[in-house]
Amino acid sequence: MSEFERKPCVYLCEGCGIKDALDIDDLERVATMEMGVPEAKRSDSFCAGDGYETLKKDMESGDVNQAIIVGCSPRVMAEQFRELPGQVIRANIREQVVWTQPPNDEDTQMMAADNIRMAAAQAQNSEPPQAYWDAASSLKLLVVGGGVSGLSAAREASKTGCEVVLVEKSDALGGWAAKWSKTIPGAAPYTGLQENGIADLIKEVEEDKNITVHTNTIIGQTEGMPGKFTTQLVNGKGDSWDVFGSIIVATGWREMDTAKLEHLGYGKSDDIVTDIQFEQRLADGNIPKTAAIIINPDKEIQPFSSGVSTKVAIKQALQIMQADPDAMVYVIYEELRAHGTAESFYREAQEAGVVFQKGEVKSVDGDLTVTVHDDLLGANIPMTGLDVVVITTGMIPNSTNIDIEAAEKGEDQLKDDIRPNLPLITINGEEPEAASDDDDGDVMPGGPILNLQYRQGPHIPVLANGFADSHYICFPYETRRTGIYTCGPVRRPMTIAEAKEDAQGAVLKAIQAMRMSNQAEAVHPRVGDLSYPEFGLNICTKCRRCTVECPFGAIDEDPETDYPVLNPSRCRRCGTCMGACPVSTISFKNYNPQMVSEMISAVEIPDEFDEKPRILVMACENDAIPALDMAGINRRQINKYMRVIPVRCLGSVTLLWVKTALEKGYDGIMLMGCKSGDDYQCHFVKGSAMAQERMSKVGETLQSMMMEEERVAVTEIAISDTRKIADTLNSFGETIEGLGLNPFKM
Amino acid sequence: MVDDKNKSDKPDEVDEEEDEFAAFEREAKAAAAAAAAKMAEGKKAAETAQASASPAAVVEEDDEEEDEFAAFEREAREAAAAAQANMGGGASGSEAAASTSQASEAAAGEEAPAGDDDKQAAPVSDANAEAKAKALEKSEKAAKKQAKALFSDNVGVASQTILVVGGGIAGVTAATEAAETGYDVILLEKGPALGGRVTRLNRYFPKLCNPNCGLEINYQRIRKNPRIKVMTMCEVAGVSGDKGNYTVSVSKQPTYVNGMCDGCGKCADATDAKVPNDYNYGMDKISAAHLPHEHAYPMAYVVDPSIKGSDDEEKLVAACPKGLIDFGQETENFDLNVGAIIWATGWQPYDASKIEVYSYDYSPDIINNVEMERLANHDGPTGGEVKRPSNGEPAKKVALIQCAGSRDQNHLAYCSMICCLASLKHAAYVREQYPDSTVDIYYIDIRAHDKMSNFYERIRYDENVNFIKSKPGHIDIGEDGRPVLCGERTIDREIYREPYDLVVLATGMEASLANNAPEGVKQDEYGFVIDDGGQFAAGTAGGPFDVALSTQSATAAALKAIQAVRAGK
Ligand SMILES: Cc1cc2nc3c(=O)[nH]c(=O)nc-3n(C[C@H](O)[C@H](O)[C@H](O)COP(=O)(O)OP(=O)(O)OC[C@H]3O[C@@H](n4cnc5c(N)ncnc54)[C@H](O)[C@@H]3O)c2cc1C
Ligand code: SF4
Ligand code: SF4
Ligand code: SF4
Ligand code: SF4
Repeated sequence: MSEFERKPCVYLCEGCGIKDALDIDDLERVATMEMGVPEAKRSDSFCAGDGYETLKKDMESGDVNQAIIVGCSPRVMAEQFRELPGQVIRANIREQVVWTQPPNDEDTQMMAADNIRMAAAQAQNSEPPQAYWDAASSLKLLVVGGGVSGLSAAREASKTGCEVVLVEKSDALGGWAAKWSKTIPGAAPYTGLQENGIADLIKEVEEDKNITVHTNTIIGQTEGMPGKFTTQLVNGKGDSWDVFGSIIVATGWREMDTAKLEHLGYGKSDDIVTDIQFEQRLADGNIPKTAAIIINPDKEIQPFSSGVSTKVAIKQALQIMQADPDAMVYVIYEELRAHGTAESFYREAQEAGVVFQKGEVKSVDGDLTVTVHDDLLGANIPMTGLDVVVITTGMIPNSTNIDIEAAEKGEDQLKDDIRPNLPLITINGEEPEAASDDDDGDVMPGGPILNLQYRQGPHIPVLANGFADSHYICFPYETRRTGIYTCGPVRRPMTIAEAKEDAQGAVLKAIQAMRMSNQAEAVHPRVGDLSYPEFGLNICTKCRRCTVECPFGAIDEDPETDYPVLNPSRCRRCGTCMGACPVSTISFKNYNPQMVSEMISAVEIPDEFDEKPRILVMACENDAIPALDMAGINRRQINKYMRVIPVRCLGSVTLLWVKTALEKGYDGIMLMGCKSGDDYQCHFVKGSAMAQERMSKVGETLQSMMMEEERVAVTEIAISDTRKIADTLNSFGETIEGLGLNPFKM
Repeated sequence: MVDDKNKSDKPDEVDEEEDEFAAFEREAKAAAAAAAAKMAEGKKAAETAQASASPAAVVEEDDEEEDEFAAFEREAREAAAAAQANMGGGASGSEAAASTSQASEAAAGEEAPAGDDDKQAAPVSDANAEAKAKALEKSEKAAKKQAKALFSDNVGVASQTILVVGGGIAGVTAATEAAETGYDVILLEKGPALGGRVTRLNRYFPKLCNPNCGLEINYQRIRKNPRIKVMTMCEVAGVSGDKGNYTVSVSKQPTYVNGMCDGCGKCADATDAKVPNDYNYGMDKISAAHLPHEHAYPMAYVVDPSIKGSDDEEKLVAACPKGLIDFGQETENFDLNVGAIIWATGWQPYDASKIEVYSYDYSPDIINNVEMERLANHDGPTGGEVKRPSNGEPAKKVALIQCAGSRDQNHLAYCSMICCLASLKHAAYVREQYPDSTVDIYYIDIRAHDKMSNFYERIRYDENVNFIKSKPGHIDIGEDGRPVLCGERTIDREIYREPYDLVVLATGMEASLANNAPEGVKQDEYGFVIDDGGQFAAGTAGGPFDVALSTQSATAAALKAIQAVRAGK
């Protein structure tokens, strides 16, 4: 960090009520005389008008390359300042100080002054990030799986100008969908059996000059990173290597274990079949006179296929009725999940004479007697005289390749991370007890699809029930392996029409990832960030904490030296590695252990006779900081002794900072991050969990320093906790005042 | 192009083919196992005799064209350099790279720890290494051509700008995804802030996380991205033209606050006038000069039109330190020229007054499901406590009525997909607040689709949440003013007349454009937008979806729009 010649200047905003609440002369003195910033300028607004023009001119002329703007929160006016050529550092004295503290008060003034001290220290210890490489990188897409999802992905990418390699394990394209004689309607008016268009899609793909298809091929191994995935394609005629910018996994689904259907009579008769087997009969024109189709309830067929199953049952029932209007078809269900526009399809079947029967199936006998508990009558009703009994099956996501052996290393990646069976409602703030103890979840069988040569293992890690997503509500395509996206039923159970659309979404993300990595920019959620972690290997102890804790598997170990090696375009720039490193040798140009330590140290700690405690708050900038801002927007009073440092993710907080603060004489430390564990809300998936784990050990440090454990607290703050955050800080302040001052105070 | 070297079209060769396949599968397994071993032991895979370096050539190379693409490469580098310069960095990318290589030098310089023979480097398979190196080299050459094909600007359409109409979760997603893929986007929003319906939800099912969490990330993306232009208070009046060249007429309503409001709030202090709070569906009042809500993006105040011409007019004008308040603002009409349009206009709750038997208009204690979200929200009319709107007492006996207006040929013929799940969530809100509460859910089917079925199971653990299969016939108002549900249970045919503290109607989703679509949009019979090659639907503008499906469809819509504006190629 030496080359960069800092030319800082402080821009003290006097607008927005700041001037009315604070002594600006004093703040200017702190910035210049005390912190040594050569100059401080003042204006009624630096976001617009003359103030902004001054700021812009200073930076464009090169006189200033670090603007320390003292005023509002970085969450506002960012659009204005992003245009400035140079580093912009924001000291928040509006939302955080003027709006949460009484005006013209000694403590308010001290808080504002400290925020400026911290910003100046930040400037002194950071510099603008630079892109990590300028090598050309691949913009070719690898699609794994040649079913509807994979075929659609390949075509959509090609239509966008992208070159594609499509790899299919079997000897033919089309996947399951090629086996269905008729399909479910996927567009308005959402009725009527549809012709299967797979053959046309296959033809389009085969004729597409942008697409190269490899059948009978699987992926031997994949190394590298977005923009540079080096992949081995393995087939009967030998291996080949190719390089890809990003990867779409569209490996679809597999049939569930039919042994799990035995309680529904499966195996007792050739005429008790799965819906998959029944598709073949329908295709062959083998139409029954009477049929019962049992929609298997979800709890029997995890993971969650009953929505698709319901539509399949309706489709198959309609196919029978169309072939023979006099046929008798019963669809037996517990919950009829014809959700959304499928309601029309359901209605169509009812009108065609299909009988929908709600009730639990009690038994299915070898002579095709189906006994259903009829809820309406409250009795078990046997149905007899059936020609066929169809049982819907589940779609098990092909997150693994079932045909190859499980990799030794993959187990953790394939365990359910969430305990999906946990009751949800918290009564009296108490965590509910798990109703079952199968908390560990099952490990999916099978080997890796891509066989990633990553330190953390060959799989794409999965969450509950084998799906690889990470924030599937808001960011459905994100996985924990950068540049690798999933689409189709490997992501969630879906129909053909849904899978086609899903492929479009995945293609967009894949192209975007290639583009970003091509420009050395981070992808979601720190989109466009150029900073990346650098490793000072001279003091690295090869402890491997960084390689193990990175939530995205971005760091490998050098096979020869065992030192950590970053794969920059896999990195999401969360800083979890930095927080993990016991010797603090990982740093970003604009975010590093030293910078934050200096910020912590820059705060003026009043001596013990002043009886003014100091509370350090390190808060996640994605959720806790906005919540704090909003507490300010609502003008909620917050503890006047807090000093706040935003962190990229709680995972980036190192114990060094906690230690520094305690040594400097802070009286309490509060860490605020997102919810971890089941239903985590952390944007970096594991960051806050890692931090909590780390901080659980801080008690020992405190004890060794003869201090109370309560001085350091970790809390979970959601963005909506705009009331709670004030209450939490206030009550923590009381706790600290109760404990008395830090004995280390000078 | 099909690489058919493994494919045989002679049927009699099938068996042979299968053997061959089995053989390669064995090989693949071996390779995978070897890789796993390598990972586990941290050493290079042993050299395999069979490993053959087949040509990595997949794409035909076109050396002649290379020069043509050199230009693109330069552009890409320039862009990267500009990005650096923008950050104020003087050093070039290679210098940055140098620092990394210094680090690896440091690494190489250190001796491997003694006795750790595990870590000793085994020779890499030469064949593999060679093949990999070749592939990489080839890829580097191809990259230029690929980049040109993907991102070249010269496509001969009049406008490559993508217009996104509607700033809810789908619109925000479509806009950011398209912009981050390198296209210019205009994001139009009718209201004063982004976020649409979801910003007014208390929690998302099934994680019970607050929607502003995901929105905040998206707003960060917007704040950083100069390709996205956000325009609030704007509505589309009509569309003409064709893919690649649409003219969109827009009308912009006044907020009486010009430009650069910095959210200081002085205007709000200057008036005592209160207006119904739209953010809380009118369940409470807010200052006539207000921030739309605490999480509003853009964070700019708006002044209610009722102030115009009142005594407070001058006070407000005087109060703004930046002099931004201007009652001279009028509705503005203007045209935009764009290449593709994404309709992300979303949905509205089906008007509960139309289901007359449910007496929505006759009791304040009969509310719809979006109002329930506000009632439970920390920023709602009750500060997050679920209270009876009539008297402010805790609502401890609550009924949730499913399919209020959906699955009904007289109202919405389709199933709205989300209302079952929303009600499960509402049960959680009430149960968490009051340990002695009960919640009765009246339903036809609980449609917890795919991953949501777990959510259903998790709520079902609670004994105080009762699932009653029945569609209530009507709601009476009892003598004590409480709503009384009347109907017959489907299962045991029992007639009930049950009073409740609060009744929530799980109203369905109606397309926003169902009754007032601008000229030039294609719609289905329900008013959902249909793709036509240049105009696309994202989220619930295209059908009843939950958020996960909306963000998915929005991402797909971004791709479709990009394909449309590249159409000239
Ligand atoms: C009985 C039944 C009937 C259905 N009927 C309908 C219907 O009528 N309409 C409808 O819309 N939906 C229907 N569905 C759902 C529909 O089948 C799926 O939406 C569709 O198959 C999704 O296609 P896909 O490409 O994602 O998956 P798949 O069809 O499973 O394709 C995945 C492909 O990837 C390949 N692959 C897997 N692993 C690897 C690997 N490691 N390397 C390389 N390649 C690999 C597979 O060989 C396969 O070709 C039905 C489902 C069921 C259970
Ligand atoms: S922990 Fe975060 S910052 Fe560190 S390498 Fe991994 S993704 Fe990058
Ligand atoms: S955490 Fe730090 S010391 Fe440990 S391996 Fe990583 S860089 Fe080295
Ligand atoms: S935790 Fe946040 S980002 Fe994740 S799904 Fe919930 S709202 Fe979205
Ligand atoms: S989701 Fe549930 S409440 Fe909503 S319309 Fe469908 S079945 Fe009715």
